[in-house]
Amino acid sequence: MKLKKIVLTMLVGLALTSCKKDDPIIPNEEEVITTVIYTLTPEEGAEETVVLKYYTDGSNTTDGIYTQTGVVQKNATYIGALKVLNETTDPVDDVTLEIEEEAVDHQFFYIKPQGVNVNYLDKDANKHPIGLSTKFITDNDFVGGNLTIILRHEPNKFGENVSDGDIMNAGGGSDLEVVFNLNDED
Amino acid sequence: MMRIKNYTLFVILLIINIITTNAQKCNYSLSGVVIDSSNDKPIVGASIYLEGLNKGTISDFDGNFKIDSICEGNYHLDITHIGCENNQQFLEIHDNTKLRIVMNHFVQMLDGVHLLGHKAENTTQAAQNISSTNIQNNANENLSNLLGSLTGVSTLKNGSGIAKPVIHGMYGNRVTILNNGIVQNGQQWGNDHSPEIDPLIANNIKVIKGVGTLEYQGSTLGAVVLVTPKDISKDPHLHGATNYFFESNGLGNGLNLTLEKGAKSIAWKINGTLKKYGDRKTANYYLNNTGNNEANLAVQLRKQFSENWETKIYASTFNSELGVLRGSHISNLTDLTEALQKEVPFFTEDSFSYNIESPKQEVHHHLLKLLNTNKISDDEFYTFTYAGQLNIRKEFDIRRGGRSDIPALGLNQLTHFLEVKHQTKIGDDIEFKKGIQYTFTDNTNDSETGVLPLIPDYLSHQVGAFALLNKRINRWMYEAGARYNFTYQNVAAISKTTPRTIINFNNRFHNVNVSAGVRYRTLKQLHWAFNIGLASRNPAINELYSNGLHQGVSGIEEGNVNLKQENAIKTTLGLEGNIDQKWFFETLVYYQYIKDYIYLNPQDELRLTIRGAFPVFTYEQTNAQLFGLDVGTSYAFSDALKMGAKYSFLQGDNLSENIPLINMAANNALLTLDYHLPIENTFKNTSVGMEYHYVWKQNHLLTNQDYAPAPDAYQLLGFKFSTEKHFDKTKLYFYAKGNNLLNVAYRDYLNRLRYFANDTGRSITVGFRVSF
Repeated sequence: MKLKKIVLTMLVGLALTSCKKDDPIIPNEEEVITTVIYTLTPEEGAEETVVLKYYTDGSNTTDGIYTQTGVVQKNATYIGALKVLNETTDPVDDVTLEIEEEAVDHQFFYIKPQGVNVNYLDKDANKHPIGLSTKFITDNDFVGGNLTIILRHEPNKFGENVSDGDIMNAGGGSDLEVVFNLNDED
Repeated sequence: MMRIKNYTLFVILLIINIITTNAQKCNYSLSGVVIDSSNDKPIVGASIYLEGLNKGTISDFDGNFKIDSICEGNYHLDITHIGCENNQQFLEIHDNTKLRIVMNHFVQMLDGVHLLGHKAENTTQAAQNISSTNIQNNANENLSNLLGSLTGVSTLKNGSGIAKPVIHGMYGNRVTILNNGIVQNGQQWGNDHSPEIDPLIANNIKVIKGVGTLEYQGSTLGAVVLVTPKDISKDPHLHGATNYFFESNGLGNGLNLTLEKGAKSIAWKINGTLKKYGDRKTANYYLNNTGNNEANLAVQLRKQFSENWETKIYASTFNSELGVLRGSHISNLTDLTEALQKEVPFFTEDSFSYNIESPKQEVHHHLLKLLNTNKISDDEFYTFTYAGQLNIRKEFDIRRGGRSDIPALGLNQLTHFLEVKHQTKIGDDIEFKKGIQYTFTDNTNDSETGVLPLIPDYLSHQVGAFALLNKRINRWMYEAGARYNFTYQNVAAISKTTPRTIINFNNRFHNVNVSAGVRYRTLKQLHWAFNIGLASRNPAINELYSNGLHQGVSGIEEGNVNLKQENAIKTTLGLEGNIDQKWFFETLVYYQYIKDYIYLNPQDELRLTIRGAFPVFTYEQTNAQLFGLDVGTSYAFSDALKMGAKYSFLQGDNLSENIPLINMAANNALLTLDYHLPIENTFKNTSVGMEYHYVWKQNHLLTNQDYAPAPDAYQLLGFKFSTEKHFDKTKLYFYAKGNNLLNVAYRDYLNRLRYFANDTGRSITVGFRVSF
């Protein structure tokens, strides 16, 4: 009899106390990247600053939006500056700073359309490029096309040709991979 | 004062003891018969030995034995016979004593292919067993790998340390694992989650199918795995054993210690295991970051309050840290394509290390169980069980900004379980078992992960009731059972879209399962068995609400809130028997049809995110069928030399789309040869064996169903050796075994690591055990 009472009490106790799960704390998704901005400031052969931007709501459920202001010119030299942001937080989190801090574990790769050359201007502690600051050069063959920017996390920066921007032997994992269709009219 | 008093008392007792010892009678006899469990025939030439007295004898032509002139007292009796499991008994001799000793065969058959009539089983579909000897002699293996040695069971792996069992093509939510009678409430949903159970604490591992599974709460579409620790012996002396092993691949070390005492007041047993492994190695290169550490402890207590009331307490803790191959941690589809083309995975180094870094898993599982048995009569009793479980899982990914030390997935699951069971007999030959169960589950995510949880916070209440009947009439045995389960789930999920909000779901599910079986004995040595079962299973939390990027599988997994229950029908037809106790055979044919089978379906389009393109997997329903065949046979050339063979075939189809089902084990065959060395006078149970394993390529698969084609067929060669040396009170066991002796470079279809690296290469394990 005693046993039955104990069972009953425990059952009723459990059933009463918990029929609704408490609301979870929504995690602070500070690692998310929502926005990439590649700013091309003219140095030679062009007048207009070009801003390439890709942004999402950070949810992974909808595709992002690409925008371009200004037109990339033929036979021109630009200084390229990359900015990576997390806009889901308030204030907006500048992820670029985190990448700079862990420069030895990060590298940006630029997969270029015809007529474009991108050279690294910055270096980490091991004298390997990071890719936040670049020289962006176009020649006479340039007519537009896809520029892919990839951020690799923990790549093998000592790998063959990796310092020259060749992604083939880099390995690592992609933190970011965006494709800009340069001078796309649509 | 107390101390002096105690001391005096002790001396007095000692004196009394000496006096009584002197006055002991020494003219008692011990006699009996030794019987073979497989055919009830007497065993000739079994050795019966009384420890402490150095007295022994051998059973005669009729299996009889007799030892005379034994003094009153307590003794340990040791019975051994070639090819049989050692039998040890504790005896209190107050009078002339007669015994009936039943011996079980040792390596008569392969694991999982059972002996006819082996321990008069009350089921129509025989269970598959892994004996304690086999668990001990494979101390280096985890639970899933041990189960993988059974016919029809394979393992779904994520490297060598992380593995879960697949039984007749069913896994995860569809295979229930019971740890000491309690449904293991871990994270069954993930294919990269292994069961949090230490097999060394178990004495017996069993796979049951058919009607018997209805006794347990949880899904019943697949089989039920029972992991049972040995009951504390009735022996009032302190006994124990220690087991140490070393494995060459991964430079693994393991130590297990058991101590027990069957004291009349409170019987107790303690069992602890420590394991440490470093990087495993394939035939040609190291698998960096694949080490693991484990520390487990289990405590058992038993108290007999009266003749009819017994209470048992079981507490266990399982703690492990598991490394995941660094090169398998892939971020997006481009990276995956790149990794698939590499012969040797990224991040492979030339050196061995015990270090475990991210990506890794940290798992803790704690269990407390209380079992009360009330006996009404010899045929009727009640049991009352309470069990509490706490499962803590943390998964660490490679993260930016020093966040690799913060888990990307952190889950805490608490469950309470209550059960009342009643077993009785109706008339002379009907066994009737019924019971009710209640399970409460509370699952909570760590909020500091900084990542949207893959599985939402939820709680669930589950109430179930079952009834089982079995009846034996002459050559027939009938069995039937039914279960009803009600599940209530309250889910607090975080929205997939931004801004994030909380969405609540309330679900109620009714599940009904029924099953029946019949077994017919045509001859003493031949059994037919037929089983049929209907079962429904409600969608699990992950199938309904999974949401997000699963780093471990580099895909976006999305649940589907519109899923309905799935319904299945399964039939099996089995035949087992033997000819002259020399040639044993067993076959099992099964067919399963599942309406609205829930599975993770890769979608046609890729999702473009800021991190690149990702394949999207959505939980969907289809109609599916699975059918297969398991065959096992063994032939004894003599008492010493035995040969065995096993073969498993399985095919799964998605009927709605007319395509194969993925993740079905490839067909495989095993050949074994065992030889018992005839040196029983010096060493006991000495045997050497060879093993040849052939696994076909999984051809029942379309090329666009997977990232990489199914790996080629492979063949592995293994050996094993074991022996025992018995001293007066201690026993010494030694075993050695080798896996993948030819150091073959191969990949297995069910190992997710196959996308990136080869499977493990040659490995030699040596171990010894001392028991007293």
